[in-house]
Amino acid sequence: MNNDPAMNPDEMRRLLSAIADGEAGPAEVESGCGAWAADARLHERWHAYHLIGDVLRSEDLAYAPRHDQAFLERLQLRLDAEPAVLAPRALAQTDTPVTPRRQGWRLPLAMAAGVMALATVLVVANAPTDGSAPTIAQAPQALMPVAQGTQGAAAESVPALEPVPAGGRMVRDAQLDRYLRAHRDYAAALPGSLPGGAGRSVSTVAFER
Amino acid sequence: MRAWRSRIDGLGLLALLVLMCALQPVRAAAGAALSDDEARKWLARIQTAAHERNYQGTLVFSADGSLSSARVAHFNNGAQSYERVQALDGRMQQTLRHNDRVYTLWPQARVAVVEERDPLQASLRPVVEPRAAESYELRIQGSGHVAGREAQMLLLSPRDGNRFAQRLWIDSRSGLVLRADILGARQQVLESSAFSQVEIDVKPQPESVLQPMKQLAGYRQVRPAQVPTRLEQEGWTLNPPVSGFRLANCTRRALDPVEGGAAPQPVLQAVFSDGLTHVSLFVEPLDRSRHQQPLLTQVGATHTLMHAHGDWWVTVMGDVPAQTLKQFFQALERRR
Repeated sequence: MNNDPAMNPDEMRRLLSAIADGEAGPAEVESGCGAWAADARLHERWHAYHLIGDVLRSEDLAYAPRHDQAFLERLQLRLDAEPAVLAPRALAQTDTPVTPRRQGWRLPLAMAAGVMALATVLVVANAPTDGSAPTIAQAPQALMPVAQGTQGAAAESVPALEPVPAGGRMVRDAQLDRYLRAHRDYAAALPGSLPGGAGRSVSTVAFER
Repeated sequence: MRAWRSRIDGLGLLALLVLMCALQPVRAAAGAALSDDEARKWLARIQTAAHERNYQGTLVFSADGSLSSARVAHFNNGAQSYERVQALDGRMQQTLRHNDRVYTLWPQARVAVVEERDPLQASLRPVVEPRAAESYELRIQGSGHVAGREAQMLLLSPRDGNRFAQRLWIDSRSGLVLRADILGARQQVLESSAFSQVEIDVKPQPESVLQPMKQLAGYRQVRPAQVPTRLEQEGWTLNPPVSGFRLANCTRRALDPVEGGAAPQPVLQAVFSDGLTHVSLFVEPLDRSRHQQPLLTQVGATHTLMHAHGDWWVTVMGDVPAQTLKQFFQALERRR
């Protein structure tokens, strides 16, 4: 499934997250891109990571996950149809494996878009300078296994949340807003009773299986 | 010269630290806990003021370093009650209430969500019930000013670990809550809401609420169905109940009244209240394409736990510690 058989899915996700956060080194970026190109599920995950960043910026972006998926698909089709007019350049090292041409430039493009998305998230997250650590949309790095199924076991394995590490791993779940709105219909809570709520920066601990 | 100055700075810092340490116990001790009777009187005064006073102002809300505000108005002329909350940021939605009729207008999307709410839960603003004295200990912590008005600081500390403390600034003359902070376990402010400007005992202007409710030309009107039900009737029970929390409401509802194009999945929502804060329990059929990852999150003071429960997907949400949400989840039992 991956280019690199030594890498398990968890490590792959961690690597992808590191790339999305700009924390990966050049070698890791290279192997991550290779794996990304080969695995459709990683495309999806990469997209999800950036959707998280989008949602952090504005809840309006959360409502049409299929819309930007459709946009990306259309973009891919257009890119495929586009003739590749790149200035020819002599290959410096002929012994490196040559990647398919189109993917060779589509990948950096996607990466650049990703970097831009991240840059925007960073700017937004840094905006309220109250001295606290900036909240940055990041994929969960510390993946905590959670048993699903029987009630007792499931509840026991829910890990302790508090205290949330300041500036720690944060994820925004687009689903959350729907419940939040319904919850706040009942105005028994004091500040939460503003319609639509406020707190747009979200500290979240997510865990995957 | 520089060494000398830095020594002075060091001394100053030391003095500050000593002062802070000395002040800490004094602040904590300020004001003995009110008796149950006194506490209930305070809470009843707050409840009555929120219901009966005519006021309008600007409310500022902050959580996790983000800030938003809303223009708020409340009018009550005996039998009729009117309310308006207009968000001043983001999508600028406006919520209008006349008794139990609640309209939420989304000006950009041109959508009006029209609801009829349970009269007890219709209020758009905080509801404080005297029975909160069962779960919280009240202390007067001194006085100060909020929005230019004299206020008394009231600390509500939880009697158990199931809820957060709140510090309320109560308008000395009217009893209206001018500011509310939700405090974490280490007394840190998790979120805060306060009037930056407020006029109390204004002349009621019901027309200012009714007028926008009538001018809905060009708006798509959405009437989400909310069917009252009972937890037991839906095949669920809480065993044991979470201490301090009582069931306040139970409905079947659609979560996306606006979007709800593709077969809105009705979700069961049970609301539990301790008189000051509330917890929502949502139950819906498990959909493996959407419900994959168990989740524990925090936004300001609002914690959320999402987890599969057999063939169901359960979401528990409230301004309470994560531990409380886990208790709700663990106590939830399927009876059929």
